[in-house]
Amino acid sequence: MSAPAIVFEGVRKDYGRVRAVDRVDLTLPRGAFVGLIGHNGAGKSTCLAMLTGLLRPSEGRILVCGVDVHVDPRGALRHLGAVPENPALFDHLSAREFLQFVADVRGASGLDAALEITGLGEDADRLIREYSQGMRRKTALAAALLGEPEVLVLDEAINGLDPPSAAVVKAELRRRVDAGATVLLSTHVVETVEAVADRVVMLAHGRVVADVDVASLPPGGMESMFLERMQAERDG
Amino acid sequence: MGQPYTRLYATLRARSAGTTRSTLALTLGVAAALVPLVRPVFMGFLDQPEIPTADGLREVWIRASAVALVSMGLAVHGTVLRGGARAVLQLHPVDPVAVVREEVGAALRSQLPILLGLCILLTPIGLSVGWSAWAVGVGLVLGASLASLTTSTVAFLGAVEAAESPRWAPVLDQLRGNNPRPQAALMYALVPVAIVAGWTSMQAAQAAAELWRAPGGPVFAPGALAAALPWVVAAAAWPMVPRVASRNWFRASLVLADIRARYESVIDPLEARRVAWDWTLGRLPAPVAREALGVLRYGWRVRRSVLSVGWLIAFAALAMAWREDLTAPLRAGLIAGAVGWVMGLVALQSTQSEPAFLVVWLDRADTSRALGAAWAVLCWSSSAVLVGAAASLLRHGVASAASTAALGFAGVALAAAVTAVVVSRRGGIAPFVAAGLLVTAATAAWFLGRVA
Repeated sequence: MSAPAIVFEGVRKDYGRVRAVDRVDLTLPRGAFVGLIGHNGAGKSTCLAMLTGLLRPSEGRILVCGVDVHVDPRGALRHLGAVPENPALFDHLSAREFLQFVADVRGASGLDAALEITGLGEDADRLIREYSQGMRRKTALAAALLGEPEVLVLDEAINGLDPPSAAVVKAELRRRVDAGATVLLSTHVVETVEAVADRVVMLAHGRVVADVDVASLPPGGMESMFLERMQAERDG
Repeated sequence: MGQPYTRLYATLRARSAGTTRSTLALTLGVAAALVPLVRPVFMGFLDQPEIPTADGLREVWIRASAVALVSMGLAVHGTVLRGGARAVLQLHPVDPVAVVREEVGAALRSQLPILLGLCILLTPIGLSVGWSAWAVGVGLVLGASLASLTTSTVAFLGAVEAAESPRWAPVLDQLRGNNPRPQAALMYALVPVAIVAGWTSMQAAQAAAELWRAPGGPVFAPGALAAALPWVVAAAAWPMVPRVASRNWFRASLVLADIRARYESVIDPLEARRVAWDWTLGRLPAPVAREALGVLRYGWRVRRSVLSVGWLIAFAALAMAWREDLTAPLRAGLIAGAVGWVMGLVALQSTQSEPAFLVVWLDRADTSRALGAAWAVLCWSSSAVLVGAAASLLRHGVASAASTAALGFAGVALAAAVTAVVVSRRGGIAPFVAAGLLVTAATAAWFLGRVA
C-alpha cells in the first residue's frame, strides 16, 4: 500500500517566544483536493514552508509520499511541486528557458502543455523580469505542474490569476486529483476552497480547528463555519 | 545531470555579460589610476635601497594575497551560501553537487576583476624588480584566491552543519553575542579559512621572497617550492566540496530561514522599521529621500554582513592612522576609500535586484534612483572616513587628518558616482559622475604632490 501523500506528525514551530504552529497532526491521502484556510497569521504559510522544506519544525516531522522532508529534502521534492506565495524566479531567463531547466531537472516532458494551461504561451519567450506579478505566479505554477508530481502545494496560487486562467488551472488541478495526485491549496478566500476542494482544513492561531468534507457543508456553509470557529477561538 | 545546470548558469552569465564587462573595465581603470598612489604608499622599498627587496616583496605579496583571500571568501558567502539562485532552486529536486560546482565557478568569475586589478597594482614590481617577480606575485595572489575559493566553500557549507550541531553549541554561544547561534556559525566560518589559506599564503610569500634575498636575484632554492602551498591547499580542499554540498546545500536553506526568523522574532517591530542614517534624509528632495531610504533599508536587511565587514575595515583605517609612520594617514585614507567601494556594491545589489516592471509601473525617476543609491553609499562609508580622519587628527595633526579625509572621501565619491551610473543606466546624471571623477583626480594629484 502506498504511503499517504502528506503527513504532519505533531508538528510545532516556534519563532522565539511566538508559537506559529502548535502540534498539527494531519494526514492527507492520495487523490485528495484539500483547502487550507485561516486568517492572516494563522500559520498557513509556515505550514507550507515546512512542508516544502524551507523551514524546519521545532518539533515533529513531515512526510511527503513517505519521505521525511527534512531528512531527504531532494527525495521529497521529487514527489512535490510547489508554488510559494511570492515565488522566486530567475529574472534574466525567459519563462520557456526556466521551465526547460525545471523539466530537465525533473526528467519531465510537457513544457508546452504547462505553458498552455497557465496561459503563458505568447509571453513564454520574454524575460521574466518584464513580467507582472500575475505572470510570475503563472510561471511558478507551470514549473510546479511539470513532471506530474504526486503532490502539489499551492500558496495563494489561484487568487492572483485572471478569471479565464484561473478556470483552466482549476480544471487541470481537478484532472490531476482524479488521476491520483493530491493538491493542498492554501488561501484566505473561502469561496475558492468551497468551489474546488473536497476537504477543508482550517487553521487558527497555529492549530487545526476544523477538518471537514466540503460535501458535508450546506451551500455557503463554509464561511459561516469559518466565522463560527474563529469566534470560538477568540472566546477561548 | 551536469548539462542543465551548465546551460542555466551559462545563460544567466550571457544575460549579464554587459554588466560584467562594465565592472571589469571600471575596476581595471580604477586599478590603473591607483598605480601611482600604490607605489609610494605600499612599495616604498622600490625607492629606498636600505630596505631589502626580499622583505619588501614579501610584505606586498602578503597584503595582495590577503585582499584576494578575503574578497574571494566574501564572494563564496554571497554566491554559494546566500546567492539569489538558492531561492529559486531550493523548491526543485536539483543536484546540489552540480549547483555548488556552478556557484563556485560563478564566485571565481566574479573575482576576475579583483584579481586582474591586483595584477595591475603589482606592475611597479615588474617595472623595478623584474617581470619574474611580478609573475611570482600574480601566482601567489591567484593561489591565495583559489585556496580561499575551495576552503571557503567547504567552510561555509560545513558551518551549516555546525550551526545545528549540539557539539558546537557551547562554542557558538560564547561567540555569538546578540546574534542567533546559527548566524555565529556562518559569521565565523571564515576564521578557519583565514587560518588555513591565510597561513599558507603567508608561508608561500615568505618562501617566494627568499628567491630575491641575494643581490641580483632571483636565485632558486628548494625552499621556494613552498610558494606553491596555496595551490596545494586549493587542490586538497576541492575533493571535499561534493560531500559537503550533498549533505548541506538544501540544509543551508533551513538554517538561513531559521536565522531570518530568529532575527524577526527578536526585533521589535518599531525598531525593525528604523534605518541607520535615516536622519540624513530630512533635507533631501522627497523622491531622492524615498529612494535612499529604500536602499538603506533593503541594503541593511539583505546585506548586513557585507556592511558589517565594511565597517570592520573602517577599524583597520583607524588602526592604520594610529601608527607613527608618516604615510599612515594616507594609507588610512586609501582604506577608507576602499570601504566606499564595498558599500557601493551593496547599494548596487539593492537596486539591481528590483524587478524592472516595478520601476516602470511606479514611474520612478531614473535620476532619483541613482542619487538615492549614491546617497546611501555616502552615508554608509562616511563613518569609515571619519573614523580614520579622527585618528589621524589625534596622532598626526590637522593637515594629515585632512589628507585622510580627502583621500577617503575621494574614493567614496568615486564609488557613489559609479553606483549612480550603473543604477541609472542612462546618461542623465553625467554631471554627478564628472564631479566624482574630478574630485578623485584632484585629490590624487594633490596627494602625489604631497608625497613628492
